[in-house]
Amino acid sequence: MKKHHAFVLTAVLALSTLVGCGKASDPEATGNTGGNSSEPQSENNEKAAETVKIKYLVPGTEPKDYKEVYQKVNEKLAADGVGVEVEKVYIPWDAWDQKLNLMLSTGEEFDLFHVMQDRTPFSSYYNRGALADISDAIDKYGENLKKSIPDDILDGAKINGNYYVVPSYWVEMASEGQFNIRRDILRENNLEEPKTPEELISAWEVVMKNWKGSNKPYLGTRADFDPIFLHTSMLHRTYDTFPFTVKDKFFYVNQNGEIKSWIETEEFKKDAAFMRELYTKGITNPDILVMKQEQVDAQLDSGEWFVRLGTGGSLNGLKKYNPEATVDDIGVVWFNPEKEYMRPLTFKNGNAVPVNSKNPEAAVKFMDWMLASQENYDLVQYGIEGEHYTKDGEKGFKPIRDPENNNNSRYRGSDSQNGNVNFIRFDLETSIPDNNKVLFEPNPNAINSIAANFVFDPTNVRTEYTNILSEASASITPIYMGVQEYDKAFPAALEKMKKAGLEKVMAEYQLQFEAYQASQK
Amino acid sequence: MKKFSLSKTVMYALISIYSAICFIPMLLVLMISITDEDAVLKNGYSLFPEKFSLYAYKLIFTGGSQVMQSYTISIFVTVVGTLLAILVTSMAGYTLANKHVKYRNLLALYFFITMIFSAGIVPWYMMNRMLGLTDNILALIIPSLLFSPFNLFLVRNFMNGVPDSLRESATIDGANDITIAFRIYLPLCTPVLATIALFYGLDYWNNWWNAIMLIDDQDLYPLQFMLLQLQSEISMLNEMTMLAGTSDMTLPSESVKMATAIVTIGPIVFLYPYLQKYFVKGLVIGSVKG
Repeated sequence: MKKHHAFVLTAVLALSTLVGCGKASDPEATGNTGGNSSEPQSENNEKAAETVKIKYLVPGTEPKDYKEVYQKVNEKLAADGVGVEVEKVYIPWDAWDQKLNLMLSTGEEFDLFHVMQDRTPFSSYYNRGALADISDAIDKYGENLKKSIPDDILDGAKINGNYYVVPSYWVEMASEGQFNIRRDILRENNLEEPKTPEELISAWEVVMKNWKGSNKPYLGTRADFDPIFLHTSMLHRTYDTFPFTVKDKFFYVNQNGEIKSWIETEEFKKDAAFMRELYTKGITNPDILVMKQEQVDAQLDSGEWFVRLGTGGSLNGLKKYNPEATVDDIGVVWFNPEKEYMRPLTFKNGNAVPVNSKNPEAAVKFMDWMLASQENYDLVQYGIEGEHYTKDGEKGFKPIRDPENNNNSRYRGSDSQNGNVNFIRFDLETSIPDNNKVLFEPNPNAINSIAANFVFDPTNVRTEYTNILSEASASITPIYMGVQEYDKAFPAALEKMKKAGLEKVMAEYQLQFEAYQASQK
Repeated sequence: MKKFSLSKTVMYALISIYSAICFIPMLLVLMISITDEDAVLKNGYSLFPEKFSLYAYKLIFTGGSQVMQSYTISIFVTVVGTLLAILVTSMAGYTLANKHVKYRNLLALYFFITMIFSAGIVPWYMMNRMLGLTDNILALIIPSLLFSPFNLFLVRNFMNGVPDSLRESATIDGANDITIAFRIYLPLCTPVLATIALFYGLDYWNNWWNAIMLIDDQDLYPLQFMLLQLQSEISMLNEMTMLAGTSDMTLPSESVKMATAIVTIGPIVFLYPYLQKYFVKGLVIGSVKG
């Protein structure tokens, strides 16, 4: 009898696991609340058939009033007859890559996800077969996308003539190559805005000597050897060989399609010489090789800075050092402003449709709807007018801050994920006009680098690529940042880089680039 | 009158120094958490801050309902998860310790092999999805129910030490296995159960992995995950301050990291003194017979 009971209990346990498996084939029971609803289960089948619900994955934290704002977004989508309802799912930054890869690998149902080119380029997802071809959807439903995103930037979203991502044209990439300077400090020292690197160094020396603040206005940045990351590309405009760019840290590419190892070029040497001068004259932070991003931001925020490579800074920070400062006290400087303005890459961010989505058209419709009017854009990016922000003229906005939300607005969309320079608004009281102009105004005269849309796939040289990245951080960065003298340190460093596999990686890059160029003809 | 003992004095001194070495980092974490962010970045870590600030704690607790909600979720998951895990582990341990169970050693190997080999994240994720363990409270409890074959090993070994004659006499008296397990073995195994309760409790309290992978609903975020998310959000916002106008305030980073550490260890620090004796006993459980 006891054995009988034991047998029955075992059978019940075994069957219960099978019931669990059986549940898996019923999509309603998987706990997957979002995703595609092309097989609607609700009672109002007619309504469900008209409106398609899409799930949109983005990195970040859900704003406090996300549900309220997206209810309005969905109401407006319905009122405008788009036939799409959006559910946004926020995945924490730290977990973004892993969770997204997991969801793509396991075929989980969602319809749109954000792509960051500097993190994982869309070509990488394409190579895995994870992206849907949205060419037809863009042709049919992408009228506003085509109006608001220039053709050459949209072209960057193509592979073999088909669209696989909708680029976010939220920043003008031709903004690369300038730096910020403090006009109030220039006035304080009776200095003119420098027009050459030599003038910049002289001005900086004067400022350092006369500095009244408690912390010297050193050059503060995280150490690297990539001129795009560091924005030492500002120096490149002064070289006769400009225009050229440096792609993926190692590859010098000029507009003739010539590829060279960046660290072995004369231009690298000149950059290193400039940085060496800054370092030996005590302008570079002595701890430059170990500076953390928090320290760089703290310097900016304290107002105790003179020059920042690239853009940065805020009025609040300026006022900490100079209470009389205004938003016009940060200026943008281009060396050789008469030369071309070049985009090293066409876009940094975009949104893609996964291959297992059942509603690629709905996803494209939503992206297109956002750019159909300023009203739609404002709702998605800034929230509900009067509750989360107020308009400030044609291009401005004032966030409505909530003291219970740490003095932040209870809703704010992401400029990098869904922004567009044609619709973007600025906080006119605190943001810097010169920076807004250079970052967020389209530059119709800008040219694209010949390699702007080329994405290198290091799969075939993965080991060597990883090795040269590590070796460069150790051997090349101190030379580029000026801490070590080029003539003394470079030969040995180059030897180490070659041993790490530099030449093999260069050869692979050359091969892929030639194939890319051939495909463009 | 106590005789002066040089060796004892030296021992006490060494233990005091060692205790200070253990305690000072903790104190440093606390002091950094109440130091002004700018002072931390300018002067580095210090036991004597230049300027005090509770901004980091204000930032964490300004979430208000989110922090309280996360605390509630963490406490619920820890208590329920620990109780269920003890039940599952003790039942499995009882079975493996029962000499009358055929192939029990093979079954034990089946459990222990997972300590060495793992199928990886993808099958784990797919299995949880198939079982409906996404976006609900069970997703925080069930995937970790038998986390640790090591705990099972502890329970089995302890139960092996319980005389078999107890089982035999209970069987003669008409008790079935459930009665024997719950009324005889479990009361005798209190020390090992308390030990694994502490281990499971700590694991459940500190676990953020299940939340990251299986939970999208903010209302179900446990405390550790909520604070991890806060920290990563601050890092991303600081990176994005290169763009003018995207952020006109500095979010404290170093002090927030330390404040999150203090907030998350709070309950454990209060509970640990009560469970300490079991922890110490647990380390030697199974190694001494009789």
